[in-house]
Amino acid sequence: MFENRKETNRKDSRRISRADICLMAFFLLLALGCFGWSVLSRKEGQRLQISYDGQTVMNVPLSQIRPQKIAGEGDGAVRYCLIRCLDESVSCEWYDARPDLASTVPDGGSYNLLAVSVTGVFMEAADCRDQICVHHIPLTGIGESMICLPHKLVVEMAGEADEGTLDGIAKAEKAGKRPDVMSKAEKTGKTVYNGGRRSYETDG
Amino acid sequence: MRRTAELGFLLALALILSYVESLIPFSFGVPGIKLGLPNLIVLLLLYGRNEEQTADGESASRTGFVNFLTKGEQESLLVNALRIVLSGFLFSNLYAILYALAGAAFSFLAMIIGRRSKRFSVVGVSVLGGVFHNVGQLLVAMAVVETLAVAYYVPFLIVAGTVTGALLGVAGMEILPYLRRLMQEEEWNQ
Repeated sequence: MFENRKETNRKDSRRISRADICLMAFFLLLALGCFGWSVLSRKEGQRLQISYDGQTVMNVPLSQIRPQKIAGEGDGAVRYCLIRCLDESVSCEWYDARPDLASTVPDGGSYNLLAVSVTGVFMEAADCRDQICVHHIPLTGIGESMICLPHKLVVEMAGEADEGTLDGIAKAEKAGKRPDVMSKAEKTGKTVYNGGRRSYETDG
Repeated sequence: MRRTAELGFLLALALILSYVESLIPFSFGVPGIKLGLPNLIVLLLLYGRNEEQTADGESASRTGFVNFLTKGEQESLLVNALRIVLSGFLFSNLYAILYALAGAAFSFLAMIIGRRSKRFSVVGVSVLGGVFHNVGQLLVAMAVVETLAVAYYVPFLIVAGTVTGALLGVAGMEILPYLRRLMQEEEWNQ
C-alpha cells in the first residue's frame, strides 16, 4: 500500500515529460537539418580516393574507372578493384569481371573488393571482421566515404578541385598513382604503394 | 554484500544483452548504428536507487570512490565499464573495447547531466545517452582514422540514437517500478 502511494507521487515513473518530447523533436529536427544541408550541398563525386592508415594510396578520376554505360544493359556493368593490404604495403588491381578471390588472394593477406558501377561505389566483399564496409550504402556524392576500420582503409569520393591545386598534384605524385587509362584487358592498371608512416610524417 | 550480488547479477545481465546484440544482424548501411541493449542496465542502475526523493539523500549518498558521483552513478559506471571490457574480450577485440569505452563515456556524461537537470524522464535521459554514444563514437573514429569524411553520417546517427534511446527508455520506464519495489522489499526484510 505504502509503496504504491509513494510511486504515484514520483515524477519520473511511467510518464514521458514534455521535456522528453522536446528533446526528441530537437534531435530529429537537428538530424533533418543536417541531412537537408548535406543533400543540398551534395555534388556528384569526380574522383575516387583510397587511403590506407591516413595516407593516400590511390586518387583517380571516376570517369577513367567507371564502366561505360552500354545501351540496353542498364546500370549492370561493374568494375572491380581488389585492394590488398600486407603489413605496410597496399596494392590495387583492377578487374572488369569479378575476380576469383580464392586464387588471387594469398593466405595471410587481407583484402577488400571494391566495386565501381555507373551509379556509385560500393564494397563488394572483404575479409574484415565486422563487414561494416560491405553493408555500407553506395558512395555517390563528394565527401562521402566508407571506412574499413580493421583494415585502416578509407574509400572516399572527392571533387575535381583537388587536381587543380599544387597540393593535390604533389599528393598525387607522392602516392605514385595515376594508373593508365584502362583498356579492355581483364587486368588493367596496377598500382603498388609501398611507404611507411615515417616518410609521410617527415615531409609534412 | 547483498548489493554486490545485485550488481553482479546486473553485470551478468548486461553481458548477456551485449551477446544478444552481437547476434542480431542489424545493419542500415551506416556503421555505428546498434540497438544499445546494455544501456538498459545503465539506466536501471542510474534510476534504481531512487536517490533524489529523499531530502538528505543527496549528500548522504555521495560517498564512495568518486565523490562527485552519487551511488547510483558510481554503480552504473562500474558495471558498464566492466561490461564493456568483459564483452570486448569475450566477443570482439581491443579496438572495439576502445570505441565502446569512448562511446560509453560520452553517453554516460550526457546521461548524468540529463538526469541531474531533473527535466527529463527516463526516456529523455535514454535518448540523450543514445545520441551521445553514437556521436562520441563517430568523433573517436574520426580521430583514429584521421579523416573528417564521415561527418555525413551525423544525421543518421542522431536519428538512430533518438529512436533506439526512446525504445530503451520506454522499456526501462516499465521495468523500473518493479525493480524499485523489489529493492524496497529487500530493505524491509533486512
